[in-house]
Amino acid sequence: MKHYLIIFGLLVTSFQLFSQNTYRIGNLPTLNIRMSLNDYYRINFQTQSRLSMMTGDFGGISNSDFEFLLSDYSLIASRRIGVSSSLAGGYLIRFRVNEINHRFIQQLTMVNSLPAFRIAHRISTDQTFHQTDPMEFRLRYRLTADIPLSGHSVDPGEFYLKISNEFLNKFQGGSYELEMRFVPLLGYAFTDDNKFEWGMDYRVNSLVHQYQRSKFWFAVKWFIEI
Amino acid sequence: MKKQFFLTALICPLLIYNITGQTKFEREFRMRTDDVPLIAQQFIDSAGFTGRIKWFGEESQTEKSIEAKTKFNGTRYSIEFDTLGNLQDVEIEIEFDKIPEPVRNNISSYFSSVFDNYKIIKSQVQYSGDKNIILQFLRDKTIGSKIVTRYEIVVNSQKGKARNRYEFTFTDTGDFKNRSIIIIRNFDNLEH
Repeated sequence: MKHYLIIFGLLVTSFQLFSQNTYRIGNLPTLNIRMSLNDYYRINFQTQSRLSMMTGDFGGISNSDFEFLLSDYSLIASRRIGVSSSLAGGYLIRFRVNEINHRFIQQLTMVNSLPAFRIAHRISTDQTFHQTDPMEFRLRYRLTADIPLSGHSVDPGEFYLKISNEFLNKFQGGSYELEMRFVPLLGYAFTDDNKFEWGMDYRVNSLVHQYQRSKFWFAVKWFIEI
Repeated sequence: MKKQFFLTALICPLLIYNITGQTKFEREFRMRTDDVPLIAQQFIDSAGFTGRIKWFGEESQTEKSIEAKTKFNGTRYSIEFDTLGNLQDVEIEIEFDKIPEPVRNNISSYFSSVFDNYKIIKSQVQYSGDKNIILQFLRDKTIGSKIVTRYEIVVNSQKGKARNRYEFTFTDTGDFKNRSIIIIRNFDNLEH
């Protein structure tokens, strides 16, 4: 009997904890425009918006709510430092409803071509400046695979899968937070310089804390070169 | 603020129509076995491979070919045919260190003379010749004198500021035969 009470107590406690884990569902469209300056340098302009459609907790409470959250505009210059690697740095401005944030970004990307797909490692850091809160520093690592659905490389007119997993370490005013992102996307290559991707962008933060906040974004991404 | 969101969401479909016309037609694609010329299928069936055979078509602006790819005893094989099913060559992936030492030394010396820095990405031995002799080779691995042997080496190179990936072909003694530059595919969608 004592064991049943313990199990019952654990179940009730875990349900209460679980029910305090929250989620958000929304849309995340991204447009990335590249301009090559020469064989080594290129500029990427990216804009991304977040629109929340539903919020709630895993205990069952939910609230359908059409809400604009933010829009990002970034300009990143990158230099090719190897045959398939690059070093980049840039600036992002974020428009929220009542606040504007500024972010500086530095990143290193290395792409390995394997017989049947490509793997990319991206290590990046960024510093975000808020109007009231202290500066936020992030250290990120992302592993991405793009897997052709026909043949051994993504050729024009073909579909592909792009799957990425990223871990973000956030440091802000003495506090630490860990976020994880898992993004499986289906892509279509119109040409090598014109690709369209859509799928789910799942993010969970507060991994080191008691309650997690999950976000499910329906992601649509378009990469073009002009 | 909502205007910014809708601007991002709406201009995407509009711009697609302006960009899609600039396609360069060069691709590799999977083929069903039924679509492969019988003569090529028969060659592969006779070669004694035990692993799964994957067929690919390759199209560029100048030529088309058909390739059978498989793994046999842990080694990758690629057998290339023309569109009628006639054998062109057999390529077997090997580690660079497994290439006979005198040949390897010749190839390394060549790379050292033309590049400041290089890294070997992939090595293959290419065999061509009469199809019956090649078939015999695939069965018993005996390299007769009538088989033409070449080495295909893919390298990442650095020469001054230039960094490129090349595919080189060397003769059976390691003498340079030709090279072609490999166009690195756009990796923006992996970077951003």
